[in-house]
Amino acid sequence: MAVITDKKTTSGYNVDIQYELLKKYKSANGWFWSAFKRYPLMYLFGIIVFGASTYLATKTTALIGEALDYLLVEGFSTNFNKTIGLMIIYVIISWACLSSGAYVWSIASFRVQRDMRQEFYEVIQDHSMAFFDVNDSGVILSMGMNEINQIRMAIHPSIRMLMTSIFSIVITTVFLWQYDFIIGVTVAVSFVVYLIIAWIYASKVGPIRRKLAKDLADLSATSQEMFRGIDVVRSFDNHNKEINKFGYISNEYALDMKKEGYLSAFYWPALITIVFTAASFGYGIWLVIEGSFSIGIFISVLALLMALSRQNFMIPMRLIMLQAGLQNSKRLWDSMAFKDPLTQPEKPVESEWNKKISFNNISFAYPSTDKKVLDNLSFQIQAGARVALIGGPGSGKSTILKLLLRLYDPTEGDILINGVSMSSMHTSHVRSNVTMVEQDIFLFSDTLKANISFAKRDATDEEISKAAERAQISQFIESLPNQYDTVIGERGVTLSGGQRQRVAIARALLSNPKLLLLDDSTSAVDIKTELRLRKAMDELMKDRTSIVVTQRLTTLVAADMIILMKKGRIVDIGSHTELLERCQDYQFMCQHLPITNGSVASNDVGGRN
Amino acid sequence: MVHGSGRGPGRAFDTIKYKRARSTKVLVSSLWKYLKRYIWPIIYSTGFILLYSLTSLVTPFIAKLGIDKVTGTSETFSALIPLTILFLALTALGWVFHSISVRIMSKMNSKMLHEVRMDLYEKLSFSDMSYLKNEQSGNITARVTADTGELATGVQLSTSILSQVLLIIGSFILLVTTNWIIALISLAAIPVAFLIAGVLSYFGRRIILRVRRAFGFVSGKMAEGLSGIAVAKSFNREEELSTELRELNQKHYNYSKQFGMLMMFVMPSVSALSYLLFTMIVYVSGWINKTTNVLSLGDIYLSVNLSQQFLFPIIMLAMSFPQLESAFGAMDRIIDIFEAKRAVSDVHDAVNIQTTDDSVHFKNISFAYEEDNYVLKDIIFSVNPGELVAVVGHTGAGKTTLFSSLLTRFYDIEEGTISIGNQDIKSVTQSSLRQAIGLVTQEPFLFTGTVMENILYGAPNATKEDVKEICKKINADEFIDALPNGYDTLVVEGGKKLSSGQRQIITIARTMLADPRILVLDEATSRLDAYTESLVQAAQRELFKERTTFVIAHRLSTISDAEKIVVLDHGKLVEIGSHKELMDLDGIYADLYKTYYVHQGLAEIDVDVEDLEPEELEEPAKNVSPQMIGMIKGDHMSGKNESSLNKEETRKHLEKMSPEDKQKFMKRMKEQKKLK
Ligand SMILES: Nc1ncnc2c1ncn2[C@@H]1O[C@H](COP(=O)(O)OP(=O)(O)O)[C@@H](O)[C@H]1O
Ligand SMILES: Nc1ncnc2c1ncn2[C@@H]1O[C@H](COP(=O)(O)OP(=O)(O)O)[C@@H](O)[C@H]1O
Ligand SMILES: [Mg+2]
Ligand SMILES: [Mg+2]
Repeated sequence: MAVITDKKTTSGYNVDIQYELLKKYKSANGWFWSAFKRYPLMYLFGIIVFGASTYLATKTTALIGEALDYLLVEGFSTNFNKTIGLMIIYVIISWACLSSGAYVWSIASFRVQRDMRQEFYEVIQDHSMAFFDVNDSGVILSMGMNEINQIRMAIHPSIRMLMTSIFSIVITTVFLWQYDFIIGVTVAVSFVVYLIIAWIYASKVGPIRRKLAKDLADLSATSQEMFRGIDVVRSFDNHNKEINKFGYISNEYALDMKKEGYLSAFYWPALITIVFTAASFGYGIWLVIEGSFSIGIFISVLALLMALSRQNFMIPMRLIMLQAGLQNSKRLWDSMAFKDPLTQPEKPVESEWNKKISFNNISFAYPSTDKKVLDNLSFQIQAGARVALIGGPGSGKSTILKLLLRLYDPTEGDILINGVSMSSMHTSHVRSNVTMVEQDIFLFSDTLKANISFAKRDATDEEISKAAERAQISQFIESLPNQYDTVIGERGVTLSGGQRQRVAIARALLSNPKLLLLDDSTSAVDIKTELRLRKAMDELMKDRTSIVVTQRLTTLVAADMIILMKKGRIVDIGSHTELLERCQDYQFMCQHLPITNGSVASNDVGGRN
Repeated sequence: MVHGSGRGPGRAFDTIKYKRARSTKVLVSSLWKYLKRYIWPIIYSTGFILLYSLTSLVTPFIAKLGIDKVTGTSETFSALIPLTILFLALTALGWVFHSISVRIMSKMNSKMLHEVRMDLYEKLSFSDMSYLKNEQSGNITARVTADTGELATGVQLSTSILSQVLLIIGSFILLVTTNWIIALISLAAIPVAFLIAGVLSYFGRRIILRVRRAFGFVSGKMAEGLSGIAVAKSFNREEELSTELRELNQKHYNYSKQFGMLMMFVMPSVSALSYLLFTMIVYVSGWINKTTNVLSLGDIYLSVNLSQQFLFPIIMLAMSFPQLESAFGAMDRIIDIFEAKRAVSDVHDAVNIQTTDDSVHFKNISFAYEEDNYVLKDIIFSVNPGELVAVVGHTGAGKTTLFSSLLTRFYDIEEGTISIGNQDIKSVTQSSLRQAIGLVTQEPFLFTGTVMENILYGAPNATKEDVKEICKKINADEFIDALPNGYDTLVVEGGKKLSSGQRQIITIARTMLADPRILVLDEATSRLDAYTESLVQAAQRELFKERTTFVIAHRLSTISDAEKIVVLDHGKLVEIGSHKELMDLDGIYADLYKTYYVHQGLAEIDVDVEDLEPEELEEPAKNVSPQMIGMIKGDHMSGKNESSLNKEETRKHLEKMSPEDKQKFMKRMKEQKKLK
């Protein structure tokens, strides 16, 4: 098996997969042709055996003439019978060669496909979020699945068949050469010309094919979007708009399909073989009349030429597939060679995460944009503190959390953990100490058990159920028929938002981080969910430094420190009472939180302005 | 060349043995409706194919003539020049005929494909909500993309079958006229060819199905790894994920090996068959000549040539049957859609909805999505024009069903009526009804396009200034300005760079801009912070002051100042009235209010979590990007049943919770209050 993981460097971290890959294969072409280096013996066997089988098949064809000559001269003689017997033996051996070769070749190619796919996934997975922000996950998926398939198809069957074609051209040429020098040379020259023209032709059709594939992908995407959002389409009575959108792309597809049809209709490289076969026919007749050809040889020549022209229609198709394979490997290679703005330090250092954390003049713009979403933030978090982040949508709260996971590096400034800059740490060191519960919870479509123990694969059943209990989700899980083995997500049951959130909390509890990041911007849920969530979150924040994005007044009041954000800047920092006293924005916000029991001046049960 | 196949989603279908509902005859006659429009192209194309087949038959004959001429007799070369030229002319002409035919065909085929697709898409987009909701969007899309593509392939295949049949028959006749024994030998190749094709389609179908399924698993795993990439990174779990992928990848490889084995058999056997056939013919010719000496070398050459021309079309033909069958299957499914009757359609004398009276009346409404499984029972109430109605109730109480699905007539009610003013909503056009009602759905859904385009979706004539004004009112402009390109920022993959609050607020802006007469907000502010929510509410109150508004919500501030509060519980309307009235009533709402709404803020809640009603499973929320669904499809067809099965069992479990238990729960909560 191909891949490079599992190796550890001296520093104890995994090796940089991307670096290894680039070093090993150097370029897209290097990567593509590496297929043959990966399983050299199998491919070598294939090449030899295909050579043999092509030789025998061509020989069989050539023997027709010989047999007929015997027939003409000697009648139904032993020589004739011997030739026929020879032909049959050749056919059988050729069949055996072709079969075994095809088998070995295809196996080698499926292995290459498997290995390349794995390689691609591992390298892509290792890219930072900067890559995933700018690349559509559907497109990456299609690269990893369909385009790898096409790369394999370029090798098997395309290269295999092209190779067989070339073998038969060469062998036929040699045979014809033996009969007559001029025919041999002409065949050789015209097939070279033919191949060149076919390559040019393939380069014309190839792009249209790719355009067609893209059209079809667009068509599916448009259609899926409309059916997923059918409620919205219907409630705005916008069917016609959607139908027009679809119609536009469908029409594009039809036009491209027509273009491709037109090109393949007048497949002009075929004309070369037509003219050339006719010429050989005339020339052959002349040679027979001249007396330098026997009739048998003439027939052999004709039969050989006919066999060659049957390759006619195969070659361009194979060439198109080969080109597609090469182009795809270029695309995949470019994705794999993505220049990542976030790099691992040469000599990673470690730090103590249960100490002070400080933000020094942090500014941040998401890679590939220049809009600063965080603007010159500075603040310090004491060990064990509970920090609350508050601010409107888009003010940068989640972004702060992402920086602390080192999903991105700040554009300017430094985040220091106990005095050590985060950018000098390896990401896996950071992430083994920090855990985030995101806002839009992502769970894998796997069992609940697997999801909860995601951070700790060797967790015992007790640990898992303990975590679930603390996260207030155990009662629900145990009410399910399959309990912890219930599969959730696409392939199983669907959980409500509140349930998902608590599964994620259980997951975070098991990972037992030093620093907890919790993104909980959602607040209005029904009573059951609210109660359970509150308790689960309390459990989670116990005994560790935590930074929580929240709208919950309870959390705000209990926080040691509240950071109020607005458009990427800090408005104020302080405790609940401090901010209530001095910060107008905070007062304003609090007025809109549902508050009773007189803890704030304005009781706003009515909520009317 | 095969168009439109092998690309895009939904290809898994063709490998599953599909039971058709219609006979081939019915299908062909329905297809004829489409094909009729292209009668001339079809005739021309067929004509040229005929000519092409003719030249293919004649060329070997010329070669035979040439051979016969030069055997024995002393011809001069110049006498044979015309023959050479004829040979050249015929092959070239054949090429021209073939090309013209393909050209006509591909023009017609692409046009037909486009038209079928459009008709189908239109039909589907107006089809019943229950169908669209129950099918996965990927499956529906497969109807429009894959099935139509298959149909086009089928049509194209039919013409090539025509030319193959012609070639077979023509070659055979020529063979018979040359020598009947040789013709008989060639005939023997037919069963062998069909045997090979049969093996291919029998085993091939199974193996391909297995390979596809394994491929689907790899694809699903990869899709998931990619969409969960941030989580994998956060937990340092990349290695485990690639190990899991590697295992599936290996499985896929193992099945692919079987496929390799099949290929090893089929392709070489076909070519061996052709070699054996001509060897046999040469041998038999010799044997015939030994006895009678009737066959010239030209005849033998002709036989060899014709036998090849006979064999390959047969193999092609045998191999195209499965493809043809799957084209018929596709056609069958397409016709299913065309012939489906719409459950919700305008009555023949439907009028536009009146514009004067915005009162809404629900009369004796009962509703079930599935037979007898009622989610709403006997709902009766009326709403005065301009009233703000708040709706409360637990998840699954039927709120969305009543206000998002029935009021908008996504589904028709069997029992009871809904009227707006004095018009039954069944008597007005759906189009005017939906223009009158603005709905913010529970799941925020955005289209691919800019933020601006998304907000303009329901009001194409509004200006950009209008958009900005609305956004300012609901505090959306603050974060929209913060986006990399402001209002021109592209929403990709359903808005992956936006938080769900941001997505939600865009959907609110979209509906507000559309300026409907009646507004339905289905938990529309659930993902917003309280501050932003209050701004949305203020804007809503100002903009929709005099209009009927339904708000489904959990937050107290939203509910308590509504003119009417509707409390739904398990599909029943249990209480209705103003906040004050319901508090005086001291029923369910008052309980909820005291235990929960009051405490939505700061205070500790003194209800033990264990005392709560067990949780239920919710309806699926779709969180995967459209492309991804397409990619991972395949293997999920079986998944659907699995999920509903699990749900079924859970539901049973939940039913054990009797009404008494529920009352006990309520009582306990009250007692706890008193103890305090
Ligand atoms: N992956 C991303 N690429 C580009 N812009 C982003 C990305 N994620 C968030 N943003 C933008 O950055 C800003 C801050 O976002 P975020 O930190 O999520 O806000 P909050 O959590 O406070 O709602 C928003 O304008 C948001 O649209
Ligand atoms: N498309 C549907 N098909 C079948 N059952 C549904 C569908 N949509 C909702 N339901 C069921 O109807 C009931 C009421 O759902 P809903 O109206 O969404 O409740 P609410 O909005 O109050 O949470 C639930 O039991 C739900 O599972
Ligand atoms: Mg956020
Ligand atoms: Mg609902």
